[in-house]
Amino acid sequence: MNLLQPRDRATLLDALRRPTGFTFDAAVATTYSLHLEALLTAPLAFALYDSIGDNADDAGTAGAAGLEPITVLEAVRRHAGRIAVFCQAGQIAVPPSRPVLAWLEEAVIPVTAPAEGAVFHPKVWVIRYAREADGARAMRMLCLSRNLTFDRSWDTLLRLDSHVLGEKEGESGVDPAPLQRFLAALPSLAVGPVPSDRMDLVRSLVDDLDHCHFALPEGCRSGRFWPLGIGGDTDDPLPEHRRRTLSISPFVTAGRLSTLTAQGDQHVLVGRPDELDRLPVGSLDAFHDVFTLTPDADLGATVGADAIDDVREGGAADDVEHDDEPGCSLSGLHAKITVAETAAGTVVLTGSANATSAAFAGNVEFVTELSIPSLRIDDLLAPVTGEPSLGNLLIPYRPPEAPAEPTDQERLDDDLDRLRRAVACTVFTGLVTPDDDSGFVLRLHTSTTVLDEDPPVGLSARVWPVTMSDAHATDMPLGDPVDVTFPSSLEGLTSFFAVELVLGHGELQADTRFVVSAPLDGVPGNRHMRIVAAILRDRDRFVRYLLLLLGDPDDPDQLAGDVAGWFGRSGPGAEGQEDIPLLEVLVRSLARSPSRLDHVASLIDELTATEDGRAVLPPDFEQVWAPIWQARETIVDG
Amino acid sequence: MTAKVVIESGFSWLDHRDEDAQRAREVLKALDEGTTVDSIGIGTVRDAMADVLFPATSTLHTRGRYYLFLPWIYRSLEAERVPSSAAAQVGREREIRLTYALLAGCADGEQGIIGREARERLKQLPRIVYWNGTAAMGIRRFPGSIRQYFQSLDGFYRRTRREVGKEDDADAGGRAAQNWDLSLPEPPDGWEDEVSLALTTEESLYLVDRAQTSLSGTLFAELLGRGQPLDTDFPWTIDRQDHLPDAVRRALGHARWFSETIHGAQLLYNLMIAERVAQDGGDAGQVEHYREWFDEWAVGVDTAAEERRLWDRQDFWSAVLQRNPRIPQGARSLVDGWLTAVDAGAAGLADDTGWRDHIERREFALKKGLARLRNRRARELWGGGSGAGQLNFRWPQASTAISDIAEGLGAGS
Repeated sequence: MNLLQPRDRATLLDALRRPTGFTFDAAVATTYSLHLEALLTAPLAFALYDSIGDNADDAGTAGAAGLEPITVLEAVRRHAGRIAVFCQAGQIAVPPSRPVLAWLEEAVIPVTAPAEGAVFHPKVWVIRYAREADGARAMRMLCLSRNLTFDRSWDTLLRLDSHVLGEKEGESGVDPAPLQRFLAALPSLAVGPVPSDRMDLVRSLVDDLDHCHFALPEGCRSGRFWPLGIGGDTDDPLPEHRRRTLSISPFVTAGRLSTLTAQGDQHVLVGRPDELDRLPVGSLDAFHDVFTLTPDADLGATVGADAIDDVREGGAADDVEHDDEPGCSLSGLHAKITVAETAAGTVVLTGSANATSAAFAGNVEFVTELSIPSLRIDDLLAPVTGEPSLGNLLIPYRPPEAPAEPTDQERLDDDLDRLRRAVACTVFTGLVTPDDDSGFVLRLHTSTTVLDEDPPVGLSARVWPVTMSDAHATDMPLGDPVDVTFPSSLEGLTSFFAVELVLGHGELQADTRFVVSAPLDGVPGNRHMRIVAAILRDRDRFVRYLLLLLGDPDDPDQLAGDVAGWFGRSGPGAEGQEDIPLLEVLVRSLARSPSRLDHVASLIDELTATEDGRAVLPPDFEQVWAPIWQARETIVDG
Repeated sequence: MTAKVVIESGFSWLDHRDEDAQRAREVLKALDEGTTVDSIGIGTVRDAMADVLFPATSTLHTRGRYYLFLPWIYRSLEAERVPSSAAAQVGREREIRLTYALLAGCADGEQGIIGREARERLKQLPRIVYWNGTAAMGIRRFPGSIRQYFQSLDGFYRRTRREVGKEDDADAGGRAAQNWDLSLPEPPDGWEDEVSLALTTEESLYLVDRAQTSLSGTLFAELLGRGQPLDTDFPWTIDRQDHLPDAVRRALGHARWFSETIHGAQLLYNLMIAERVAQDGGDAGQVEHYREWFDEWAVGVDTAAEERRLWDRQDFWSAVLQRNPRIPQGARSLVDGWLTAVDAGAAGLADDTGWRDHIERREFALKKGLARLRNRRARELWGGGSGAGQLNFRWPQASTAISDIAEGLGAGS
């Protein structure tokens, strides 16, 4: 049995892909830090495989290259309402201003661990897919070590697919009950109110897990879910009667390491050199071998072509190598794995928990246990000739003479991390009121101060809507409840606010930026449609979008082919659209699925409201559209 | 009967495909409102002027020794006969290794190490940043793009092998075209593992020679020849300008007068945005800021009016158009009109409705729905300053390279 050799790889995009014949139905995800753009990967993944169909080979080679902006817009619009993401408050990175983020506002639910000083750290997906033809449902569970960010690091992915719900009898290889308990607890961890549709979504996934029979990966005899830190089960997943332990963990503390080595001998640790350097002298004595990854260990991810892209406009901020900073990226080791050889066989623990005391004493974590009888630690570490292996990538670690002490700057950064999470745990609310001339006033307020304690000397804060540049920032009071306003256009409205904290101490200064979510009251009903209209800023995009909306759901490939044909032949210029049989498409839609025209109608209302919008409509479109819509209005949905 | 669901449970490494993340971001960006740079469209004139003064530089350039790192890396790939199919990847690895070598060989906090933050995730590789600059200096002899260069390598190896054979036959035939200048100095020993940004005397002499051969008659070559570090804000505030050849001195004058004069239009544009942000209900503080800045500018250009009368504007345009014959008419008429208006007195221009209207129409013509002056949403994305700084024609990059090379010249003595 050989596990986790460097060529065993899967991407999150692949792991989210719907099973053949199914479509995406609902998903709950958890993460410590969150990159809103990375969260968009989920609807993107659904869009990708919706648009290229079920041909696995095509999908594999096409990857994200098959994404097309208008398809993505529609995928985000359709799917985001069926996603709930629970993340640690204060760990959402400030995104670039992107109109599509408007659909994520209610999907993101900041939470915090119930225990004082602990964090919410699990990285799990529970996804349900549905088959339209017969109503069949299937589920998938992902247990990862990577957050929902664009990190590029050595991380693991455990994927458990279910059989069609209710189809398979007998005991599941994994008891879903702890996973149900974990999901059910999530809304109670929220910092603010949870939208009721997201509560329903979580509840329906919990219910469906009752009938869920997960299939284990090859070679696994049984599995067990271990949610930590949500109360109730406080057991340690570490099995008893250990003969030998291998721990792979980027972050370590002496206390946890001594627990790991309390039984058995010949233990092995794989860590990150900068973190190992901080351990007190002697912490590693119980290990037979301590390794780090070679500095040039690369996932071997194929590197894209030389592209000058957004490095300069947004890249600098995510270049900081600090795990706590939202928006930063790690390279190097990030997987958290414990392999224990016991009298009863070998057990693998994988998931979010580092080999630290915090992970097992308060943090909310999620670990999955796999029993793999034939697995041996020596086999895992053995170098394999002729191909890359985990063993080939390890180099022995040499501890420094004295442990590395945190610098003053690091201490200041740690103080600021704590303050950041405290501020982010405040309940913020937003209120939109119309202003005189077609504009709005966006008000952000709290009923309490953002810090329970007196604000430390040298701390200052600014806040602004993520849809605007930081030149629109305003000071955020630390000693009084927040009540600040921003004049805003309709497109500028958002419930995501960027907060900047600056903490000065003598010569030193630390600063951080993160997003807080403030559910909005008073949002005009046409806001989302207005954003769609703004995105469809030219005629080509409008026509593509219309075709996408009204395409034949039973034969998406035919439509895709048509679109490609039309645009391929004539190019996306205005003249080429003469060839597109818009009238046919509209009439066909009227006959087969008239309710689809309703979304088109609200879009056209929005577009005809402005001069720029009318310019987007093809010439004479309104004459074609008016009778179609008249006919639609006489049809009663049945 | 319906098909069963395919089960693909598994435990593996979580891969990260850069192309996927990149494509996802591109697609999201395609759904964006777009960004606006060069809002009033004077960038083409600015870049042409920068090319007149400082060819072989780019706004992305950092330090002078990169003119040599790039050929050293790719010459070593050629020596190892790295095939075309692997060259992009191997080259990337070497360039990232260079980042680590520089981090090992430079003092803490040394400026200008490309990839210091991004490391393995570096996208703006030195080969992108310096590809054009090395050709302008006459160091890179291969005439095409990076991609074409990689593709050409397999054929290049075949041709050079044949020539080795010819030499064996004592047949002194023509040599295959070299990709890199033959007199390129050798890199220091162990540079792949540890190297600094300090040029040796030999390397500096080589770069000065290259510039004087390939870029003769430019300010860049002249200042390299002086061998003195520079630390002024603008190229026209350096000393001993009267020692420069006439043509170079004239070009420097063009740059100065264009930069100083057009700055007012840049400031007026920002002042107008600031006024409208304030009308939207936003921060009014920027209005005063830009108003004061504009007034200060007006006093400056009016004081220099007498001196500016000697400026030959026709000669300025012919220098610019020689570099870039395709300067759009809109840019020419904006710049020319503004220069004329300033000569008639700059003080009142901030409140000149004709000019305000001209600038607003110009921005709208270029930016359409993204025009900040007409679109409130675009103002919300305004960062508080759009191209408000006085043009300096890549002087920060050029003067750093010149200073690096000058320090190398002094290194041996």
